[in-house]
Amino acid sequence: MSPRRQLSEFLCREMLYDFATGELDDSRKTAVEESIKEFPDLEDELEALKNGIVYLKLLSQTEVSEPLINQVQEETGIVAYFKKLQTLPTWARWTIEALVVASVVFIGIRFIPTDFWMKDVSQFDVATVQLGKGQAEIPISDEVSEVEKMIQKDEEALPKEGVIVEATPAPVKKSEEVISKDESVASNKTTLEAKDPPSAVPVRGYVYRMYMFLSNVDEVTPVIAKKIRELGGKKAGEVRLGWRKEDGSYFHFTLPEEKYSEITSFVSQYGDVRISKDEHKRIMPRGINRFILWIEETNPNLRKKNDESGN
Amino acid sequence: MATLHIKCISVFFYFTLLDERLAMEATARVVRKIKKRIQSNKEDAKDIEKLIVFFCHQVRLKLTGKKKYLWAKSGIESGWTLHPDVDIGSWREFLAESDGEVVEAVVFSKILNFKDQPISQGLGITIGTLRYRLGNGIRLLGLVAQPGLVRI
Repeated sequence: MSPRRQLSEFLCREMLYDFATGELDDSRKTAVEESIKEFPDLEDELEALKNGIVYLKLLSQTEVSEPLINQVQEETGIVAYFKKLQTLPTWARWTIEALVVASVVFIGIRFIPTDFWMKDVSQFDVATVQLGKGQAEIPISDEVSEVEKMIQKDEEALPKEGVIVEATPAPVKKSEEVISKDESVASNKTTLEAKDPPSAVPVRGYVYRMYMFLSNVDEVTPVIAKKIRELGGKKAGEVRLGWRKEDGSYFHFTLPEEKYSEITSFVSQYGDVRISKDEHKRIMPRGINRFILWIEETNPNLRKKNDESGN
Repeated sequence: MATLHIKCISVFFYFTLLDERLAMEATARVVRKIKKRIQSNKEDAKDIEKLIVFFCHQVRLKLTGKKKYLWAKSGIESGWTLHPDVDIGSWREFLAESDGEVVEAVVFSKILNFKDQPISQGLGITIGTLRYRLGNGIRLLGLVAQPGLVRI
């Protein structure tokens, strides 16, 4: 017969749970029973264990309602993911929404063409006036684009500083050579005066573009050039007034403001004139208008070779 | 998944989180995970209790400490019905004073009546460790449920 085992209080305490649940063998069970008698505190602990087991048995009888189970089963689908968002804190929901909106805006800007958002406002038609005998729309030929190139070239030859502070209207009768000298003096003035802050400078520059389609350009060109000079006009570019090109004549000149109606009524007596006022980066002094007149030759037999020199 | 399993999961979270809204959310989460696991590996359906223990443990760790809602947003009445003789206050006190692992062991073993083997496998502990936690947990619960007894 084996000697009876004497358990310490610590060992007995550790075996109390198995003793309470009846999972100890007979020898250990007896040993624990004897230890309990020896250590009264263990009896309180055994009592607590039994109470705990009884309490847990009551808890194990907890019932769960069918609606709750059905709701859990429904929420395990895709709906659950959206419902989860509602449980997030406010700052998290706002962050997610902001990111979604920012992504949509970014994709919209990235993949939608720029033309959809912005319009080219660099050249706009402020006023279009058509003078002359007929009221019919005059078709503009593709050759007009060459005029644009000519103008650009003409412009590039001019001083870059387009801000002229003082308005200095030229005398009415002056030779071309004198006009060129004045031009150079004016350009020096421009360089010097550009350093001083302007007292009154127009915000935007503009140019009057006039288009005519005639069959007698060679006859009309010198007449118009003479009239321009008589009215106090000067060439505004490097080419002379009435520069004869292959398919027409080109006039680039400045004129005092008060002479506007005179020049327009003068040219309109030769044919229909289409006038438009376009924005241009070159700013003229107050009281001076800039004109670009293009008279296109409609008679193909009279079209000449291009005058490359422009003089 | 069987209704019984969903009941077990919901009861577990009810007693470990003591928040109905969170418990429902956690239950749904665990059910989704188990379904996904079973879909990927049908062999796991044989050890459903082990899966329940494993995923419940994972989700509980994530949700522990999460702010509890003061009111039920789902608008439904309480889906859990306790025994009329139960004083939930004792359980609250037990929850506050015990370690989360001990509470888990007690709930799985004594409330849900799972076997020791799947519980230990699901939690990744030995059976001895499980029984040690059970003993300590039930002893503490017993002391809390019967105030007046001297705690050791």
